[in-house]
Amino acid sequence: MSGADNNASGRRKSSNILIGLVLFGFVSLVFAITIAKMASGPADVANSQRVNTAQGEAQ
Amino acid sequence: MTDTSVIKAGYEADFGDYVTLLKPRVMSLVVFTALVGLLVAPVSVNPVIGFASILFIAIGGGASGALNMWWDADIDAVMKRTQDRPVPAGRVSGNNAMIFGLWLSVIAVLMLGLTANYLAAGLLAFTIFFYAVIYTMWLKRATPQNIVIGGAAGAFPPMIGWAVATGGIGIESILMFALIFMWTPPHFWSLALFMNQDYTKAGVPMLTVTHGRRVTRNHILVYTIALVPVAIAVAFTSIGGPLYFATSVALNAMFLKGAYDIWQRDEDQAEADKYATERKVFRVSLYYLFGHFAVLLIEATAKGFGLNWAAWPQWI
Repeated sequence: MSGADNNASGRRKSSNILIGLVLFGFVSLVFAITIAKMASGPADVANSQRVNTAQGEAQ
Repeated sequence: MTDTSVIKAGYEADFGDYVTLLKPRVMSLVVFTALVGLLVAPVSVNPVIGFASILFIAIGGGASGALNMWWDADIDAVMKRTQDRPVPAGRVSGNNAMIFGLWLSVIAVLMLGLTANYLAAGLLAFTIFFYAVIYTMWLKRATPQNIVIGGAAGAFPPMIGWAVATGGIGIESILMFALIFMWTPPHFWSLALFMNQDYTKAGVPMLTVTHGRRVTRNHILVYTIALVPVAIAVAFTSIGGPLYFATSVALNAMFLKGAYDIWQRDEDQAEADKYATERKVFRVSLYYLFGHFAVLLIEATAKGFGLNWAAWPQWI
């Protein structure tokens, strides 16, 4: 293998690692968004139900 | 647009070339203004949702930058400031830049819709369309008013940030939009004054090319005067306050002084000092925008700590 081939192979390897990290980051982010949505969803519903109940009692 | 799909023989684009396609410096402004729009909104956002939304807004902004670099490669190749960009330099083919930009646009809009809400995603889609199609493909080569109308694309991010938090549009987000929209022409025209040769060579009908520098100097002054009430009006909304007001008055005084200095000069004076005043005003305009949005963030933080400026009028 010539020096140029080694250089190209090294560049390609580091690009592949970076793309892998970006994809891993993307998947982790989607996972985190899902967890955040699941955690905040029912709480929002519960809050709005609490507000509605409070308003009903006040009337 | 000309054929720019030729890639330098034996060269393989690396990760950095694709990052450059996203125009990271423009992206930083998009991220900052969108973040301020999100944080000053009266509704708090889950940090994960907020972070992801800002990331998708940034990716959307970067995608429109890649589409711009694909379409404008012929112009970029002629201009000294842009000839080392990945497409004109032959490091990335025009076709790859286009595909990269389109895919990122689709991913950014869809993900923002799923993460935040469809209004924010719709605004992001419109911003990308406006920048890539209305500004880049049409206005930029058609009219000296290119950056006046095209400035809208750069003005949307705080409105998107606000929409992420509130799910709507408010007078505050409209005024943040107007602030960037009105700031864009004097900012770019002061750049065009000292980069005129580049635009002339590339045949881009900037005001300096079509109407000359004298007319551009007049326009800078008029647009800066028109910008002042818009910037100060923000002080009298729910996101403003005395800190913002004092900072805005100071920044507007600086920018107005710069615009007046530019207006007063003639070409001989400018040539003699190599456009030192114009370069200075260009820098001041950057501090101007950053300062306004930074102080909005400070106001929001102060309010978060219970500092409510009870006596401060909220007329708007």
